[in-house]
Amino acid sequence: MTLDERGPLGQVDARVKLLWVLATLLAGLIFVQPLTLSLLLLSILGVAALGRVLGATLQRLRSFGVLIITIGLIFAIIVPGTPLVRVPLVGFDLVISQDGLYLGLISVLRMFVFATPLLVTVMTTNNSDLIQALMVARLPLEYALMIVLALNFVPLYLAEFQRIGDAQRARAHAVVEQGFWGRIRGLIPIFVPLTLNAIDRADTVGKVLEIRGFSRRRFTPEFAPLTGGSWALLAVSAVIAVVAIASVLAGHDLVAALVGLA
Amino acid sequence: MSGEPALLRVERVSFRYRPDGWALRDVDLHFAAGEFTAIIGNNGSGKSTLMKLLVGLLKPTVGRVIVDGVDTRTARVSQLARRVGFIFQNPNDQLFANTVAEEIRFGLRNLGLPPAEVEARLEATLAQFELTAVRDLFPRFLSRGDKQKVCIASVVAMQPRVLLLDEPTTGQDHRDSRAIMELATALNQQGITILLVTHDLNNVAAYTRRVVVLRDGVVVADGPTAAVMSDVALLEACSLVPPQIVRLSLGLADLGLPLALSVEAMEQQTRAWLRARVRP
Amino acid sequence: MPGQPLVRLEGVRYRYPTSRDWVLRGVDLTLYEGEFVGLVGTTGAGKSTLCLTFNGLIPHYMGGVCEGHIEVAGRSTREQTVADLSAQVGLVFQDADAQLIMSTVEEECLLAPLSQGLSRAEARARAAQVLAELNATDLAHRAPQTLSGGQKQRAAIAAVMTAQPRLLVLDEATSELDALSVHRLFALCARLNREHGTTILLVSHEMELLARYAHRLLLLSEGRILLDGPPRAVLRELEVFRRAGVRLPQVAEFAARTADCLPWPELPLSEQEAERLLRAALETPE
Repeated sequence: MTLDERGPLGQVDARVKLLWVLATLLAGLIFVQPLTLSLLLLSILGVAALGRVLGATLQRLRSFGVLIITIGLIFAIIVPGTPLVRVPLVGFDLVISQDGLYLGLISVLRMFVFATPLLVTVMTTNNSDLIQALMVARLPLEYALMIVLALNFVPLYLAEFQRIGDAQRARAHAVVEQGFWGRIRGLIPIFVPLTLNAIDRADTVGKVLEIRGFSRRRFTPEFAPLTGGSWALLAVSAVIAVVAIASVLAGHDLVAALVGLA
Repeated sequence: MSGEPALLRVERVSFRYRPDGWALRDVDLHFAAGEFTAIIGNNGSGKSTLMKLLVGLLKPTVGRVIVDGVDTRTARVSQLARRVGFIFQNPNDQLFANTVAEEIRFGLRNLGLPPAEVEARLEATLAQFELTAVRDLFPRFLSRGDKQKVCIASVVAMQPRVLLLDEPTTGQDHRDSRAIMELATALNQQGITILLVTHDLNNVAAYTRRVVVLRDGVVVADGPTAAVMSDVALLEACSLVPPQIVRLSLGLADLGLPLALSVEAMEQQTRAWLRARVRP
Repeated sequence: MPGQPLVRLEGVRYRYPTSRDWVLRGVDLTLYEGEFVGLVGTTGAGKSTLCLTFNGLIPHYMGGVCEGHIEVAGRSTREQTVADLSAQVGLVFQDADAQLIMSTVEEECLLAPLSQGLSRAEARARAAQVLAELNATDLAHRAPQTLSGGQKQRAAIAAVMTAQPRLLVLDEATSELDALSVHRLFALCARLNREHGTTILLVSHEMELLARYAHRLLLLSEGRILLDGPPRAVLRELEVFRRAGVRLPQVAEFAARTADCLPWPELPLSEQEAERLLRAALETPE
């Protein structure tokens, strides 16, 4: 998933980027107000913009974004509350409630807050740096490697998913069955080859790891001194974490209060 | 050719995946019923894109594709599948069922055929492809050549008028590659139109009757196999190399040897030429 | 021309842990320093399995039952780890995607030297040197997914060459590539062989190219080596090849088929050779 052009964020220490991911995750879990979550998301996109990877980030978020927004809309429809919009359908009315929309908005913002920093980090970090950073977080090499390889092969799986889907559609396959189980059944012809291909690939990857000497390699993490960009992102992460924890201690959303004062 | 319109018509088609570049530009091609045609070109020449347009997996950005009278822009892939069968390069991208028989039933059921018809076609297909002995085996455990055969069988069972083969012999050894090309020839003799996308020019020369050459999304040659294969300059400009036997045959043309597209043809022609030389 | 023995197999039999059938059924083979060897055979003949024995993946990684003696540079592979052996034998696989596990080509090229204990600076210098030798310097900072098939295989070769192996084994590394990339990969192997003395073992179905580049051809069938020798000698055996399911290069097959009516003084390995020999034979007045 790593970009060819990693921009200034490519120079930022992988450990700092992981801390940033954790800080935004923490804040995303603590804050519930749409305003605060929006500001948090803006700060994340701001980091991406300063790192000159905003375009690439938004491009990759697009397909994921459709899913997130759909989930948000489902919230808006299924959560009962004050009716906001009523769409008459055959047999029943589709009601979008105010409370549902509010909850949907929060869940959409949160999912973007969780996904974006992770995406930006993976896009701008070399796999070996990411492995090192995960190992500093006391993760054993095998697990760090597993996580990074899984991320590494995501674009490959997406392309393969598309190809297998095409192959089955060319045999008149269409996921038209209704209901949850019907849809699951419809996906079997795609997921079975995808899984079996992944197992075949894992076999080669295992041999390659062995050849490259991973099994005996004692990774001694080696990091360059922190650059200005690293310190800046560290400061941003610290501010986010401190405000989030202070809000918990204060018992209310300090950001929203501050905006309210202004 | 009769006055009947071509089975597949690609009419002034251009296609782009992204706004910044055309994968195909102004392609105008007709394929008549009963053809055995190769589409060749290097990676990025647009041949896979052309194949996907012919089965409706992609819709033309400009122009239209007519498959057996149906405009692909207005039809779903699953509807076109009963007219055009598409075999993908890697059988592992397609095989998912737990038995060979189930794999063949899959497409038939997708067509909505009644169970009796599904079973009848299954039996006929197993017999036609000599797969009866392996009908209850897990397709993924078959040899690569047999896997490809199961894929072709599962599509031919749907009785398409056209079969598109995308690199069917890539990564296959000689034995399997030959078996697949002979299978394609047999299907062609039964009336199925065959379009073959491949890097293997030995097979193109030996088995097909017409060749379309693509380069950078443009058709740069289209004609009888012998004519295209003997245009060495054109092929080299497309980073393609004619088969060794064709190059030898071209090199000896001044001796009066006719062009040979396969080793067998070269042998026959040489023998005939030697006989003619003995009695002046 | 052949130098010291580099890899020696004696009576090697092997079967995978999940199977009762022997895949290798008694292979005796010595590869010498500086050779360019082509290995041919049908799918299932045991070519990939044989490749795995050279760097210790068989038996160390694959398990199963391995009988007989395998030695690399004079030492049994049983006494060495796969990582140690990768400094002697580099192995490139068919699936280009699965072999590039890092996010840039350069990173991939650092793995082997780092695991050999080089410092980061030394590893970088070696990676840069190997990439330059393979004309792949422009790929150093590219992400593997953005490369073409031919570039991916070049990157995979670079990654194994940074371990400085004396033998480079390519297991059907060209079979998914287009014609141009296949030619380039063969030419690259020939150059490594010529300029660096790297021993090459190339598994391929490209008979015409093997006949042109290889010094020695091995025909493997059902786990046994049926033929072993210079292409001009080996490719005479039309019947053995036919039984093994492997085709000959087209001009060699033509020569074999017309041996009764045309006076071939020797087996042609290229169309130019065939043309020259035929003209000499046909243009002589009766």
